[in-house]
Amino acid sequence: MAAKAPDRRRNNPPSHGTTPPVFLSSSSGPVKPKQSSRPPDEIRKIFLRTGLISSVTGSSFLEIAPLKLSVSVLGPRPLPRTSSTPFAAQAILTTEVKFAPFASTVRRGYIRDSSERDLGSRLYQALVGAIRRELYPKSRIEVVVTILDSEDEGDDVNTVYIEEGKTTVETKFWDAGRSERALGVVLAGCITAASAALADAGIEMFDMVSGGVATSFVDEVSLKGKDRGDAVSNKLYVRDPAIVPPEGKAPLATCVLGYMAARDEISELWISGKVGTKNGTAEMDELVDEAIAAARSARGVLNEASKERVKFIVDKSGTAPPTEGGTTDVEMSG
Amino acid sequence: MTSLVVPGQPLGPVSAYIPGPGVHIFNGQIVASLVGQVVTSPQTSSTPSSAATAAATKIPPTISVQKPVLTTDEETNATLLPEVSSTVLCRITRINARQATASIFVVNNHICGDEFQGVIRVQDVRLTEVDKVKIFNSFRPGDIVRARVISLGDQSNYYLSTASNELGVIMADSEMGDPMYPINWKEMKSTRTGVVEERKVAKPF
Repeated sequence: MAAKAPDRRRNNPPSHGTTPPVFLSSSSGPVKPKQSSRPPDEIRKIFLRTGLISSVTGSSFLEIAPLKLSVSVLGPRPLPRTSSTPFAAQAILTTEVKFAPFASTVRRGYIRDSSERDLGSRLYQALVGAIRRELYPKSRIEVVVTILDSEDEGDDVNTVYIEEGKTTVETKFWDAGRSERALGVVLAGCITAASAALADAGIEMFDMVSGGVATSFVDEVSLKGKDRGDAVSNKLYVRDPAIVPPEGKAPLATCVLGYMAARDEISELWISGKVGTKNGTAEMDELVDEAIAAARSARGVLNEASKERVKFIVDKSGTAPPTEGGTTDVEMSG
Repeated sequence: MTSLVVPGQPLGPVSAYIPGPGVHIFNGQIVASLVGQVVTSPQTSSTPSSAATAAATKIPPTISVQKPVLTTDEETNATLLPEVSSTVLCRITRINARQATASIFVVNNHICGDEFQGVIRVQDVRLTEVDKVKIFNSFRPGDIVRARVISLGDQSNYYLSTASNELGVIMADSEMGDPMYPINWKEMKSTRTGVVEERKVAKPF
């Protein structure tokens, strides 16, 4: 028993040895960020598939360009015996979002950081209203999202650097909405994939929530000029924005939302950035409408992906639709 | 091939159908709340005219949405929860003078994904002569008991009852560890030694 205990005092090497990494030669020159050629009102292609993890109730895997994430849904399962929560007439939903350490360009730790907790609570807000929680008393439903790859650059990006003697505060990037844009795409993906996983788990919902994100851009010159408030006319709305802004454009605001298309309800709304003060309401409405349009596009994928798994099961089992009351005998084999 | 629906998809007006499992009502419409196949019973043809006539003449058909499962590896119904009046099978884990604690593993003939904890209080063991019931003469740890859920209970326990003829111990081992068979409603006999032990025995079907 004592031999098995790990040696905590030394920095142990891996037991199986390591091989040195092999890098490609960098003779091709610096890699230029790829500019997408899609129109601004078109979202990127989504790959979504459900039922990939057999050990959980429901699961899904989603890819949108660089974003890759998997969602597991556990439950409804009994509340832990030690839980301090009193009798729960409705299911308790818990959401957890975790970036894999290698998921962003800056390596992350294993412990959840603030942005992960923030995404988790936003995901909770997006989903909690859609689930028919009253059908699952005394139980909890866990949604666990693991982000395997993303455009996010870690908390470093928006950290403000103040040097001594300097009065101005400068961010590392001129592109102030960069982190929000990256996290927004991640959150929208989380919402869409989590809905697919909940549907795969067979948890009853009022409607499926799909995530949408849109960013408003203005010309870079007009942002630097004096009249930044009047730069309303040449605004460019981009649905599902990539982290690289369009040529010569500067971001103003990003809107992420969870949207229930069949009910026309917004379950979660997150706007960050500048929406003009002069005709701010109109600007915000436009931005939200763009995000809704993005969510509607994602919903189409969500519907098909959810049906795909059911279709597969129906085809495989080759059963006629089950008839009410008539139980069929199960053939015991193997 | 029946049509597949997704949550949020309207299935028809409330006047045409009686909502069954897997659907809910929103704005006068029956709306699916599961991904799956639409099932109407009694089966009606999908043409709206015949459905309308059926609704006008007699009770409208029940509409429900069912999610098909792969019977091979999804035998355990993961979204199954005990409800009041569902019949469960449970294993007695602890006993004391006031109650027997049990862990529920079958709900309404379906194996559940997680085991739920339940208690059978001394007053719920049998229907008559409740004052004379002794837990120690009714259950022992390890017994398999058929019971009925009488309450969702508190935060951790479902409240179970065996106060019915067909409810009670269905499988038990004697103190020596031999399987026993029931000889009457309150006694079981060891197959090997013939020793008789007291149990609250379920009436065999």
